[in-house]
Amino acid sequence: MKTRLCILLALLITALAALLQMTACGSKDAATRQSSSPIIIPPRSSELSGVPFGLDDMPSRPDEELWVIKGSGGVSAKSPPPLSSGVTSIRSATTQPVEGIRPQQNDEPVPTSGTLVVQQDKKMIPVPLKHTAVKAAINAYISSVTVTQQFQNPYSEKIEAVYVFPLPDNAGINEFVMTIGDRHIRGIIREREQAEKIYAEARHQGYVASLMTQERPNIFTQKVANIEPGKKIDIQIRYFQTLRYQDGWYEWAFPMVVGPRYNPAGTADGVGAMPRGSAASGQKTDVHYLAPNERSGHDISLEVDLNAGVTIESLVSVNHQIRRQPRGESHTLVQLDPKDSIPNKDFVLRYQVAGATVKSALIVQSDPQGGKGGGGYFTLMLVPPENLKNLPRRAVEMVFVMDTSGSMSGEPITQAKSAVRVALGKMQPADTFQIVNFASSASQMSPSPLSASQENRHAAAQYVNSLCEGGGTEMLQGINKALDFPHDENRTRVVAFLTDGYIGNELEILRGLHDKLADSRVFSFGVGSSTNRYLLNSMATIGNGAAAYLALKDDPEPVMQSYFERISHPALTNLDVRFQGMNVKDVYPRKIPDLFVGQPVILTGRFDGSPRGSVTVSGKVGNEKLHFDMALAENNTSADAGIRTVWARTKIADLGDEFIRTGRDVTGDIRNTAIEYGLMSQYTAFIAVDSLTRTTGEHGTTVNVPVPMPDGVRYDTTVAPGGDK
Amino acid sequence: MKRPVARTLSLSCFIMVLAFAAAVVAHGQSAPRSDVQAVRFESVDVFLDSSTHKLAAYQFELFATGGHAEIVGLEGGEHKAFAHAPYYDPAALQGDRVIVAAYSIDAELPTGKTRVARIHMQITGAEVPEYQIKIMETLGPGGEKIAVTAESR
Amino acid sequence: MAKERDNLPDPLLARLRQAGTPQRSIPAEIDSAILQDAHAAIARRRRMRLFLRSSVGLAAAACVLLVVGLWSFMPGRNSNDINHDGRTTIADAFTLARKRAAGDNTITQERIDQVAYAAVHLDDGRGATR
Repeated sequence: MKTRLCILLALLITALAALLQMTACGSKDAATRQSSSPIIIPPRSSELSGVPFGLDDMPSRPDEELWVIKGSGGVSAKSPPPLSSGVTSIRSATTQPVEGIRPQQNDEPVPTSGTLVVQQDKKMIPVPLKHTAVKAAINAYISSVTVTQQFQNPYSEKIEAVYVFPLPDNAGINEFVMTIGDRHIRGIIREREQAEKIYAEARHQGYVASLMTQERPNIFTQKVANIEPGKKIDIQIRYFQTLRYQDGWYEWAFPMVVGPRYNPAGTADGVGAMPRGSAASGQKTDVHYLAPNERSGHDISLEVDLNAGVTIESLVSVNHQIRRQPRGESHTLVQLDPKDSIPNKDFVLRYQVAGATVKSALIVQSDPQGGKGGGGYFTLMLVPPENLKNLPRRAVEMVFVMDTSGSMSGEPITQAKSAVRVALGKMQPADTFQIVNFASSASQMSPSPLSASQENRHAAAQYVNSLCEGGGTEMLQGINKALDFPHDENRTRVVAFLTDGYIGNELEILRGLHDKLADSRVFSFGVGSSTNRYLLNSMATIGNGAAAYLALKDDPEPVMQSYFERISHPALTNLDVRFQGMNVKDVYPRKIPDLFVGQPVILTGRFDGSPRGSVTVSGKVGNEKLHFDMALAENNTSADAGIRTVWARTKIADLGDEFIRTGRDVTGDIRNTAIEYGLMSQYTAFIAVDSLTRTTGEHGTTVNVPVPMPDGVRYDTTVAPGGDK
Repeated sequence: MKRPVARTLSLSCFIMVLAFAAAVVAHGQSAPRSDVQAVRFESVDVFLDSSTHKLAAYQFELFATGGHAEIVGLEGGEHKAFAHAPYYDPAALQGDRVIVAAYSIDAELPTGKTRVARIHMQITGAEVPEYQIKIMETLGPGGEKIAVTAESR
Repeated sequence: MAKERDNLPDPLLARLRQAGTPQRSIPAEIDSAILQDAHAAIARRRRMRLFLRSSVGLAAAACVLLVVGLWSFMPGRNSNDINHDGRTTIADAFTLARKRAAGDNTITQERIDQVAYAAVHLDDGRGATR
């Protein structure tokens, strides 16, 4: 009888919690209905005028209380969580710790009030991936990174381990080594289909083998076949990349987990998001996620040997705790704190160097295959003129596009809303704005852009506050809504896209964006701890804008301030770079991006002979033509071995952009470049077979390595059955 | 009486032939791959014998003649100094020719006959490839050239 | 080496400032007054352009950039032929590795790898003969 009463009580509280949540945010449909109606702008109010406009004075929702029910089994009628292991308790209307309840994990949302908590110990899930070790060396703005994945079979039978993992979208991966005990086998780059056939054959015949393929420029699959019980196999990958430089900060980022992607109906080559142990989603690639109450033994260590070349003035880790061992003014070793070793968010290291601004820099590598004629590869970081920011503020037609899908639920949408409110506060009366939000469908604040008057901005802030998250990620609808209205010829249209980028149809999105773009500029904001940087960077490239990232712990104020600096001043457009005295060829990207305040451009190319002479950069600011002369020093050659790889990787990315812009079939060009330079691409793969280690029987059971949810992303709205994927 | 016997015999023969044919077909179907034997994996061990000299660096070229061989992995040597995977051209796709090289600055270096590299191959077809080695460079710890003999198996 | 300045030239900046000032509605009388001044302004601009043309050197030095990134060595005819024996082999990489092991921190492991990969490069049949 007591049990039944408890169950009834629990169900009642659950229903109450659901009701409260609906009241707070409205149902998804209700939200859509609400947002699809044009908002009525209130008449000018005397109370509003003269009030400083910013984050603090935005009205908070009085009904933001959320009742949270935790625990894998939830509140189950048949099998309530055991009281002995992890304590089940009911709390009400208090945030004070109750005796006997274990402290919450840092990565779990802390309820503000009225909370029912069923707290359990995290269930340890054995997985065949034990540890990932990352070692990076940064020289100037190029990094060389070695990633070692340590696989181990914790089961009693032979397995094939499959691990879907992220790497930076501009990583030029050119080395792959499989280690079995003390034996190191270097992998070979092959055409993807051929590598897959070799792997299938080796796997079928019982040989230990590994295969690495690329699913997206920032998503990869590692397969290791025929791992016998208790055996360990390490896979080591090396890549080169250029660092981001924005607003005075260099940024080196290492992604640790692939976020749960949404795949619109009809998508077959997407990236599925599945609960651990479930069947395939039907997409080409699946990521399997641990439930919130589960934890695998997979952890990560990370070390960055930073040699900036000039004095490092400040250094911060955005998402992780770090330990720092200085080795001189310009040299430091950064290590991930072992207490922060769960691979569930991007590691982002930002640092500033001495001097008010960086100078344009050229780094050169002689061609290993250049022979006696010399020649080689270079990268050129082209820095915009410092006083570009002294030019007057120009009126803009700002379109905020907010992703309010299920994956943004919780901290990400809170951060996105804060960012938009900050941005609204920075607008000027001559500007106009529009707010578009999309999830399963798209809607907008008003039928046409509004002037950025104080009352309109206040109303917009209220509109933003009222937006509810949930549903799918029909980003294309958001793009259409943002770009499908008449252009204001007196203002520059700037589209600010705020999203985590968790979609599986990137190509469709990028082509849609290109088709609709016209004269607009798109600035993408990655909001969250593990955003889809490939999508966000590509949107900025295709959209002639720039990407920025807003981590959950970032203060939106400086991020949006920098954004306004960029969009408020004219960009250097129609850039052309000419080299005198040196024969330069194959410069990528072929379409040189516009130069914005605080946002340098990195070019890479090849040259014959010696890197001598000067560089002339021409472009336009508004209608004014402009020339920059850059003298090259006599002794400007570097020995950085990564530039050749960076060049080839940039060429591949540029070919990908060409496909988006023109539709030309670039498959052959990408494949040939990747093979010639020994690089991973969507059409090439690394294969390694140990022909000495033949296990008995055919391949074992395939085990997908489950991964934790990205920090701040909710499992129930993205992955769980009935979620929004 | 003879005719029924003959008929029975011929029927039996027919059934046996039929059963044999069925068995052949069934065998063919139950075998996981008809070309399992056609695709196989093997390794080629490369040994260098530097006699009493310490071996600190080597470079050789490997040719495969006959058969269809593709490199599917490249492994280091048996001595600790050469345990790491050697250098090779990642674009060496056809597998019938590859240049392999390695060096070591370890204090302990191998002398005498030692396996310096193992090349993992996928062989397609019945023909057995033969391998030849051309030594291009062998050095002692001070960078001096040393004489070695090479062998592969 | 060009003079190091990372700014737009002042005359250009002034013009751009003028061009970028947000438009406001202007009364007709002010408009006509501005029109009268326009000829003078055009003349000034002509002089300014002339000045700009004549100071190409200054603009060249002023407009941006210099070169940083200067790591170590100057290439010879073939920068991977460390031993200057007309070929690139593992001996060249080994020479660098020994120097690095002896404490020469200017040589990176990446540089050694670069030379070693040059030594084993196949491609055009030149192999290690370079």
